Amino acid sequence: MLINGFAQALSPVNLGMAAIGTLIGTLVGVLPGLGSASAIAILIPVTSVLNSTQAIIMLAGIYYGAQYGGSTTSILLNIPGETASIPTCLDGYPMAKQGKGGPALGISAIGSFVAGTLGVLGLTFFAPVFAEQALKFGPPEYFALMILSFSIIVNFSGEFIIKGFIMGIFGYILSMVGMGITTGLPRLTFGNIALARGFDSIAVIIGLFAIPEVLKGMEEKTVAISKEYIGSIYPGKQDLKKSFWPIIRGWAIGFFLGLLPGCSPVVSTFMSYDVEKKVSKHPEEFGHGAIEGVAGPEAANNANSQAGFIPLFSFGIPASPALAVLLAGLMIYGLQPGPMLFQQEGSFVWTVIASMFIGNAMLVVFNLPFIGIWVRITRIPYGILGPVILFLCVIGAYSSRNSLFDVYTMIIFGVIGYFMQKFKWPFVPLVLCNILGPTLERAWIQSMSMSRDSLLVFVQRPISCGILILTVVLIFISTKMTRRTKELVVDAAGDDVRLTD
Amino acid sequence: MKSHKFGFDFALGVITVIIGIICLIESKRFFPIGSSFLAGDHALLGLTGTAMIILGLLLLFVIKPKSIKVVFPEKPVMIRLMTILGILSVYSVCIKYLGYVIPTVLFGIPLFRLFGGYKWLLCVATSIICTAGLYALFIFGLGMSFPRGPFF
Repeated sequence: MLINGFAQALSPVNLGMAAIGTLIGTLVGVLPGLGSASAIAILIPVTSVLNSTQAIIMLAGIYYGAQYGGSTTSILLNIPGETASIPTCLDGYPMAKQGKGGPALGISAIGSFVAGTLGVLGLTFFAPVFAEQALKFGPPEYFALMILSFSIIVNFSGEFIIKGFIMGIFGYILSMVGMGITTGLPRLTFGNIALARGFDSIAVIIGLFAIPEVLKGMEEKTVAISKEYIGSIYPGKQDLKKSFWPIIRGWAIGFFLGLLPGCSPVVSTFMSYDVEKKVSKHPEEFGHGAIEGVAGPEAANNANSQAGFIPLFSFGIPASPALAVLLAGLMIYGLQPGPMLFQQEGSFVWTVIASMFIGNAMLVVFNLPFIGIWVRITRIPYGILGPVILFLCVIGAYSSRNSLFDVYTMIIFGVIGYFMQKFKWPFVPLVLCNILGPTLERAWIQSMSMSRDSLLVFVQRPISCGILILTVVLIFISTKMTRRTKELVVDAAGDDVRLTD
Repeated sequence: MKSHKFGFDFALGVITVIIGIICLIESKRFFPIGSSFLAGDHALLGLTGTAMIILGLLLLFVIKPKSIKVVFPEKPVMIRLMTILGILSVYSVCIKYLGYVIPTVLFGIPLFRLFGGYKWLLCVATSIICTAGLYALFIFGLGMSFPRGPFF
């Protein structure tokens, strides 16, 4: 299946989509004001002119391209695109100040490529395992999977889990606005015809992610990258030798943690940095430009993002906000994530996995020689970028259903998202539950209908019972790992940074 | 930048309880036409409504989240932010009556001015170029349909 996947991924159109996705992703990662989640949300409706495989290839390219672009600003500007990139700043920026930004970027790209390649091999092994179980899944199993998904609210909630659950349930209530699943009658519409179609997930996502980012960009000063930090862009033999084992260890940590449903990339990158510092013969160099401190976390980040596609495709559980948005994209294209996806759309899944390998290669080829161009692009003033991003948001929100109501929805949720960010309320649970809500309700209604209102159906069936037990175990593990990661984040970046930032 | 303490959590706690009550009322409306006690459009609506009321009350009276530093921008920046949102809202309404192109050019001018502080003439030129670029890429290139105005 992987060979067929490569054959499809190497078609000129799919290659073009991977190239466009990685380029847009790198651009999004390098420029302020538009994260990968927002970019994917804005482009989902725009990709309606493509078929589902081409669209997802492009959107996936944006996802891992943005990670590479984010590592560029981490290394050259000491500005992490997300919390997961903080470890890269710790040694990448000191390297840049020593004029070794180029080798740091080079190792980051090479480490990501190696981790991505190994990740594809790992996916080849694990994906069929999940695919085999597909036929045993019924409504109670799907309901249990949705509960597993909701459990990752713990990861996205940061310190205040109750706020995360409130936002999650609110997101689910928003998904119920519109027509009832069984009756087809208007529900929570209060007689308003516009609400009868419900709230569009894309408009909600763009409003919550993109608008606050644009407003935040107005508040903060943006800094252009100075070329004198870069030097030669290719790492030397010594750099490659020092980075080899950190890359392998980073891959292992990132990949296996990424297979855990809902495991955030933050955990992988910090754990990798921690491990490299512990095993290093010169731990005193960490924080002052140790290349191992860049190689390990970057490999872990990329491996985690590759592995994150397995729980996404197999269970519909995203590990990060951008993957949550990608999940919305899959559902819009009629691709229901879950065990049956491998059975029914195996060709699609393997083509996307193969294209991820190709996309990783493109990142190395496109980004290293053209780093000068990316540096120049960061000099585009925010006064030009900000309004353009706003217009793109309007286009994205409108074109999903050709409805101006969705544009108004976007603006309202933009205001809500701005205040949520200010007062540290997590809104990723809202997005996740809004996307998964209809699937949860359908599975619940079918389960209750087949069991005649008996809740025991979820524990009498072994797979469903196993998933619910796994949910409890994962909540426990996630809480422990989040606590440990939080200590590392505070050590690295101070008290004001939160895991949800 | 100023720091503010505000009962945001309290306000959201109250809103949470209100939403929960609304859900329960709506669930009661659907209950008679549900296929059984736990299967129907009323079921999870009722469960989530109950959960929201409980969580809201917990937030209001039991759990006290630790005080956090909330930093809003200075007044002039805040006024600019609110103006931008206002312009965006009016722009969205105008698209319905004037189409996509004319409002984008017209409302782009104050947006570029607010974001970048550029001279008006430069804002006009940038707005026209931006609109032309977006039109060429999305409407002409990708064939997406947008509201048409009286002229185009």
